[in-house]
Amino acid sequence: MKDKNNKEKLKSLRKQREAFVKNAREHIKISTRLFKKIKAEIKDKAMTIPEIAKAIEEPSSQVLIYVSGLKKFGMAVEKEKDGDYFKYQLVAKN
Amino acid sequence: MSKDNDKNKDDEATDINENTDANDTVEKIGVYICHCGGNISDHVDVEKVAESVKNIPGVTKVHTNSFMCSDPGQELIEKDIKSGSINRVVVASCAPSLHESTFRGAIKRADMNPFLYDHANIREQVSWVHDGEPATAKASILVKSSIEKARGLKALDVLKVDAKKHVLIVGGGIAGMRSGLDLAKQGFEVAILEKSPFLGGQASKLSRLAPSYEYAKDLIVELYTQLSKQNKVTFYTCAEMSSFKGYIGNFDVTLTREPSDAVKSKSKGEFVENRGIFIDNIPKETEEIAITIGAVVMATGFKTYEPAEDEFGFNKLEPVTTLEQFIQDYKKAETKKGILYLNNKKIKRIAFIHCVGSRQIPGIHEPDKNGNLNEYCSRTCCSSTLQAAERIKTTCPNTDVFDFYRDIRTYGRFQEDIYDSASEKGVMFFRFEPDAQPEVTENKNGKFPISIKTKDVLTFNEEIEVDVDLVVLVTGIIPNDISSMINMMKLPVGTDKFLQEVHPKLRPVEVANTGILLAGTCQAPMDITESCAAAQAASVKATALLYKGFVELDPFVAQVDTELCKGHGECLKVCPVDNTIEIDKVAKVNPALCTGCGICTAVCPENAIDVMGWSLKQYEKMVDAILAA
Amino acid sequence: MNSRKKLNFDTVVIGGGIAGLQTAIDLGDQGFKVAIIEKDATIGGTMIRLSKVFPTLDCASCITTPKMSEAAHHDNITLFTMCTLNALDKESNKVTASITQQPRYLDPDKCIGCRQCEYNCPVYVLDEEQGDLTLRKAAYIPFSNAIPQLALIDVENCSLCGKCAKVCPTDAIDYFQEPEDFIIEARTAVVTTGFNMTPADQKKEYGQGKIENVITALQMERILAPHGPYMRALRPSDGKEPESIAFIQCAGSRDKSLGVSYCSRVCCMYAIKQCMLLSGSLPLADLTIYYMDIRAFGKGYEQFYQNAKAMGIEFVKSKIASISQGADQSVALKYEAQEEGGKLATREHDLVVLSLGIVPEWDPTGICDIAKDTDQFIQCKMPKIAPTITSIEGMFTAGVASGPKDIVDTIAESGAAAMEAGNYMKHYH
Repeated sequence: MKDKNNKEKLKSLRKQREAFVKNAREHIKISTRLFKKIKAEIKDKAMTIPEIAKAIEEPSSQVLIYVSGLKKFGMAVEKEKDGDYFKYQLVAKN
Repeated sequence: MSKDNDKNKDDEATDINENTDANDTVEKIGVYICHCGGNISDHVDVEKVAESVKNIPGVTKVHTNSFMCSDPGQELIEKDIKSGSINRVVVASCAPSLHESTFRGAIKRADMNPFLYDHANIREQVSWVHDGEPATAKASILVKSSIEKARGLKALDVLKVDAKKHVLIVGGGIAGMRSGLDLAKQGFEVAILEKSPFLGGQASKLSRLAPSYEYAKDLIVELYTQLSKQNKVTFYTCAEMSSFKGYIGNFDVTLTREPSDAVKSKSKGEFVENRGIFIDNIPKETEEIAITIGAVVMATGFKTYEPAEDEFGFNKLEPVTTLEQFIQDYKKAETKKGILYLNNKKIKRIAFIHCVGSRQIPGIHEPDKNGNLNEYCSRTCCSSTLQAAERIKTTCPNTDVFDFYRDIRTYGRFQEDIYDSASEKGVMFFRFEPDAQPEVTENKNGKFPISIKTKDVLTFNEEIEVDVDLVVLVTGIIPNDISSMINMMKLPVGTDKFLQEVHPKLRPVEVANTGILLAGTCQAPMDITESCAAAQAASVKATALLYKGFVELDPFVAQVDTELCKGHGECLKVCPVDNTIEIDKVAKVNPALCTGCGICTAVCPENAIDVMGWSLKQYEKMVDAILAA
Repeated sequence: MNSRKKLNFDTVVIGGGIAGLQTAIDLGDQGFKVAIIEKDATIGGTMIRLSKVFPTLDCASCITTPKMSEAAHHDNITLFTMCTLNALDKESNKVTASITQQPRYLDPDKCIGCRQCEYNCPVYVLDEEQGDLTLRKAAYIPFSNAIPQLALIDVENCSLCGKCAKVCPTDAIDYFQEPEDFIIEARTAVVTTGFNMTPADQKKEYGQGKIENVITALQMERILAPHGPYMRALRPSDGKEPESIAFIQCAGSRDKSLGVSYCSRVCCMYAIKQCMLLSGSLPLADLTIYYMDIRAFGKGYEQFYQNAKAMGIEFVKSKIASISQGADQSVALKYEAQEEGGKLATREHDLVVLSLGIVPEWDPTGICDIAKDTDQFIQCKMPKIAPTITSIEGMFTAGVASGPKDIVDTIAESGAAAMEAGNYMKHYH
């Protein structure tokens, strides 16, 4: 089964699942763009969700989802609280 | 297709080779510490505990996991055993009563003796009661002491004991009949113990049932008809339990039957209104019957709450009755010009008052003479009352019906429909707060004999007064008085006075005493559907326990070193369980009876008796570990 | 057709939630061979996705995982996940289940659950296991205590980039897998298909799901769960730690306009439980429950309710007239204020939870001739004395498939179904 995922076969499968692949690539595009913007903000300093949202001009609800995603996959951590909001910062290796 | 649990199944060996483990002279202890989501790790620094034990000699593996009881958690143990890294297991998590069998199962799957395992409780005994640094310190001490105990563990075999395929059902109400029928169909012998000469219990007093309008009588007759077709069922009516001994698989029970003069003229199998199916074998004189059974199903049921003197005018004002009495009277009710007549009395207006003897609140309600309050909801009364109210409005539309309630709890399937229908047919609802209960007083001058006053929450605390012909107190459910059996069988009772299960979700129909199961309203208020479901759940547990003809018991029982024993008999004197120890030159222990309490160990002058898996030496080591910390 | 694989069991259990697991364990413990058919990638049903459970406040995981694990390791039980039921027929003492197993796009015998595929997958999508409040990958294991611990690829969100295949240490990934049909023949079936929540967006007065910080009770379960999306209680619009949280009871039950006239039986208790958990994590927050009747009827439930009152949780007897967006992303509730003689008043809360009701998960129409009742749940033929018997002989039901039920009642009924099925097999075969 060595060739089960080989290039030629994958190519035709991509064609067959064109709609899915397109959908997935769209997801990648959106998340890459958002992650990049968020990461740039919280690389050196911890920020609250409304602060990040304001800085990158994205809805705060969306920012929370992506920051919580960063946290889930070990790329960001929660820091101290500022008023009613917690701050988040990128972990060093990112 | 893929089966998701195949992998382990094929290579699962059936025999456990205990000897290899036991002969393994070097102890290699694996320690597994659980976060329990955050239940433990929110208060205990789990990593610090792990750190504190990893350098203890003999500890070869230390793991932490968010849920040790999950598959990935259990697989950690299995992997370490299979790779030969460990030959003793210490799990530090919740109380062993919850997951001891889970971890024994994992160890067994890895072909190791499941008793080479000890459990440190760092949730109930630590994280739920302590916080911060002291919590972490205590957890660490408990794990260390458990490690020392594990060092001294030996491979043990479970005790296999023959079990009688014979079940005693205590109580011949609907739950008892249901369970008896299930077990008889399994081919088990079934003995149904009932204190009255009738089968059917409290349901016999009911009429049509909410929400299906079936007659309770029909259900009882149906169950009895099916039961009487089974050839291994014995009805011990007019009987009470007079002694109870033994252990799962082999309980020795004595039943005492007394003569009764109840309804001699009736014939066997006849349904007697409000009493049940008559079983025509009333003893002529007192007789004692001894039976040996494998398991017991408790189906001792309930009785209705009896209101205190003058509680809502009860026993003081004549037109105040209970729902139980009302249902019986209503069976003979008449209607004239759309008006209800009960016991030949015209009832132009009737009121129901809910939660009498239920949902009592300390500081608001008066405790009974024993200081008890029934804080629980009796569950069945809302639907029962609304059905009664709805039926009155259906058959006697010119009788006014008033319903005084706190919350309407028509939670069950199709019960809300009764509430809707009662509202549509004109039942008038008033809602009261528990600290502002309706006042029932005599109405001397008015057209109606009784007056009810309350503050109605539905109209934003308007003071209202309603005059009526009859007040029906919706009395709740309280457990039957079975204190003699509770003592004899050592049954656990909850603060609500109902029998107490081990755990409402993990072991909902079992009590801590193995082989005794709960069915129906002896455990909590339930309607007939719920009682039958609970009874069948008890039946299936009894079946699983007994169907093989033997049961397996934990091997943590006393063992005598016959070389050391001189037959003093001190152990016999202190043993709390009759017939467990006999002295024939040396002491002998019946392992099926022994509860492993260890009192004998404490009194033996020769140190010749010890509990397997919990030896004196192990305890010494544990204490040393605690003191050293 | 004839080439399809056929497997034989004593009982086929449809649904691997707590009802199905308990039924299977109770049948397996009597010596019967049982197959569990589960549509998801893991067994455990709704219960494993909860935070803690009333009235004991045990963590749901602590109670569910051992049952999941017991079923998975039981000698007499076989699990089939990711399976759709195409047909369930009863003919001459034989139940035939025709099933399609959806592909995981990996070889389950090779997958070791190491999550390398997940870590390296570049596609992020909303995580439905976390109430859409955080992200997951397209290659993933549903959650940390899922059983089986096998990854799957969400094909609709897979870009076929090949990264997971490259990093998989056991060469398990197979993008070309196809759904597989098979047949299970059994002597009995037990339908334990559970429930869904009523849709959050159907009620106009409640904003149809468009108002920020109005969440469903199941989303709140995730927020409160040990491995939740935020690992603490925050409101989803901006991560604020809420100072005031309200629960709207009967949002989707006891409401004829939604076609759900019945009581969903668990919402009062889960709302009280969520309040208790919130008062633990946010001791200063104001917690309010807007309700019609509190239905705390089970063992220990009324005491639980009274404890909640004593803890300072506010219970407001009122039906909510409407929900709208308030100032600063708060939620404004219009209600009949008791203290003002029933006049409409407005209160604002940081976060509002809809205590949604329960509807059946499975509609047998076109799949099985088993009868539904007027409430759309499976009909019970003898609801009083044999509550698990359905319209078809040899087919039984337990749990929420036959009407809303809490976990305690579901587990009891599952035992009952196992008893009925066991006795049926003993007598009619």
